[in-house]
Amino acid sequence: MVGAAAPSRGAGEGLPSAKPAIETGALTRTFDRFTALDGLTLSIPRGAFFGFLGPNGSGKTTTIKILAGLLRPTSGFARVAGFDVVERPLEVKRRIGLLSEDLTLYERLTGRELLEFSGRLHAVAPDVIRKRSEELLFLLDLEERADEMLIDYSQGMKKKATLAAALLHDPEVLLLDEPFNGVDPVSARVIKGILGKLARTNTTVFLSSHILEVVEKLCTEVAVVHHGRLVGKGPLEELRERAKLGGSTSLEEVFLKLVEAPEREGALSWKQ
Amino acid sequence: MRPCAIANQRTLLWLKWRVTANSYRRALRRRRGWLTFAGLALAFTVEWLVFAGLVAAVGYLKAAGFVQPPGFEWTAVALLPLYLLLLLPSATGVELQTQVEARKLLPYPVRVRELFLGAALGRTLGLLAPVPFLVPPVVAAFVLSSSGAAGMAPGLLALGLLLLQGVFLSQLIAITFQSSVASRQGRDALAFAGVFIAMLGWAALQLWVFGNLGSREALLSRVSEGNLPPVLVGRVLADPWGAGGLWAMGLLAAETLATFVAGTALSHYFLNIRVASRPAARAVRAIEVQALPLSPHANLLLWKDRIYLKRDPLVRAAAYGTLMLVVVAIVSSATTRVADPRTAGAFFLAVFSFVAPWTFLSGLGANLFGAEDGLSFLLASPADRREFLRAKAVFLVVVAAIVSAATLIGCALIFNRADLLPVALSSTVAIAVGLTAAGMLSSAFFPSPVSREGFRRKTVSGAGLGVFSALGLLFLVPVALANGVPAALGNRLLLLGTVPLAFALEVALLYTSVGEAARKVEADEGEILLRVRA
Repeated sequence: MVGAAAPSRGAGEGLPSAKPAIETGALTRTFDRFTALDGLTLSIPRGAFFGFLGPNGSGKTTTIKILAGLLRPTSGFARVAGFDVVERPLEVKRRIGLLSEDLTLYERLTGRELLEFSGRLHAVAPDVIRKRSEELLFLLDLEERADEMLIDYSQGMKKKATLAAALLHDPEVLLLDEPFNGVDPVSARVIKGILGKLARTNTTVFLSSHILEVVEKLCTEVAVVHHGRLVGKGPLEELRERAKLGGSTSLEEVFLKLVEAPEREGALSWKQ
Repeated sequence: MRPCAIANQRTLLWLKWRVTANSYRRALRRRRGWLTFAGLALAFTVEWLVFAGLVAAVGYLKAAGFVQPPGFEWTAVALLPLYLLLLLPSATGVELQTQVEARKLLPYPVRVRELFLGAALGRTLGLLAPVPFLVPPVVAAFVLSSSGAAGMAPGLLALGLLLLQGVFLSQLIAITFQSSVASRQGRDALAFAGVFIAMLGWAALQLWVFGNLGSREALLSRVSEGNLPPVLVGRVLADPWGAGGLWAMGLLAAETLATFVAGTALSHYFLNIRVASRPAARAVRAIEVQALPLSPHANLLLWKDRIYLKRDPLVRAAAYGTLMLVVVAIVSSATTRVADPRTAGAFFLAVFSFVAPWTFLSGLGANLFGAEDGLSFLLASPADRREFLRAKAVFLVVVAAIVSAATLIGCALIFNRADLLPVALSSTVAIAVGLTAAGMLSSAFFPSPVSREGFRRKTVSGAGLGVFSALGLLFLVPVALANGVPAALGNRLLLLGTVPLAFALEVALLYTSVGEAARKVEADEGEILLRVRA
């Protein structure tokens, strides 16, 4: 299992179990006159596998950027691993692993070098970096091309390399923005397996994805945002109740109901 | 465990080293890579030989009692070839500076000042970065310095500060340029301009401290002289332990510290406080398709390029970069120290007539398929390839002419040489046409993969840029003759005939080049797509 071989979280450095892993209060972010996030309030317990859903442009990526300390909120607060993202961004960054949707990699590093770089910046011991790198590269099927530059990787391979870098330092909180986009089914299954096991080791996973089937299978709790606002949150059963749908309805139906997706006819007028 | 600041610096330098080494490794995998590297090795050798000759000659003259050159003047003279040689690498198309983009470090637990320092120090590590070019002038400065061995320690310290200040400044400019060009906010562009205003302020302070502001007419050239940190190093070398040398050393140290503090503060502003983000998207003003006497396809493609001029950071960066030459002329020109403003003005107008369109077109026109967003979308459409190239040529010539004209007008105002503007403007438009013709051929026959590393979102490099430079120089022979022949004959009236003739020849070259490029694209567009997206 990734991260279990050589734990880097020192005693006392971990998150006090009483505190939520992620906490936001009235979190708002505006860009000029556009409100990307509007008063988001969340509390995610440690070890949760949290699904974060929403249509395109609903504020998911903005939320993840704020939680990662990459974007300042206009108002409200966000705490990750007990630290405020504005006041203590470095403490937050030490404790998170980030897989961002817009991959910004040093493309002239090799896959192996990317892992070494990330590990060193997170103060992971060299021998631990080596050991974990080998394991991650093997698991994510990057072993054979580990010494090629990232610029020569496909989009899916880059995503896997970034995920490996995000996992290497054994983060307390994993922020994943669309981790399955562009990834082949074999690797997707491996990633699902890794993430599932991580959740059982008290790592909090915050997963934003459009693939509802994955969210449905993996997540213990789900939140749905729409136009920057939280429109539903809780275990799937609770959301089904809130959406006034039956017990066997899929997450897709619950999601569509919560975001009040308009019904549009699929036929093209000029083809009729 | 928390990594200490020194460990982080080590990691950032390691990153720069790996990124640079991998880039060269990749470049050398291609056969052409060896040729370019050999060309650069030749350039280094020539530079060393020139400086060895200079040092030997001046050494002989000093020993024979003919001249007693003050150290700082010779430092400035010795630096002139450096600036010229810095143009060479980009002309050969080698990606010399694989820059470490600071933004990519943001997800990691690194402090802003560590990040600024690491990225700045990383700039000194490029195998072919300006540092090796700096060695000959430094050697020359030491040999020519009158202080001898006594001034060695303070001289080395002053040179170290000079180097540090240079890398801090370039990193500071990189981060503000990157952020302000990509930004849609006027205040960020002001922050960029502010860097140069601050540099002028420092220059004025130095002049105030040293006194001797001189005449009002000569003020600009003296400001540019005073801003040159090498002049301060020269003063240290000339009088290492005297009051003048100590003053210069103190100023140099204060400048270096101020540059570091300003760089950290600006990085904090751009990276932490005002973070550009995709959700900042807002409604933009619609732009109508123009109705120029071109085909519908050409008008449509020209319309797309006009939109890009407003919204695409790459196009804006190319235009801003050209305009910035005016500022660079003021703040970093060593030649104004040894020439009067009138002569310097004539020199810069002549130089910028070529350099301004070259800077703009080498960024966009030399490899236009590489710089073209949505190329696969375009090539999948039934757009006429000849019309596409024709529209692109119109766009490039018009924008290159506009930014070059702005540069030349600024330069003429600064140096009070409006009398030279008509010929300079006519020549620069003809040069823009000729270079666009070269760009058509280099783009079609040598399309390059685009690099996304570094602060420029996409940079042009490789054989395409080399061919663009070579063909461009060849195509500009008519313009050179049009200016050179009347000058040689001492009859300026001849310019009325030679300049329009050169312009007509350049237009004919462009027309032919568009045709050749279109034929090549029609035959090999799949190959081109593969090569620019490799």
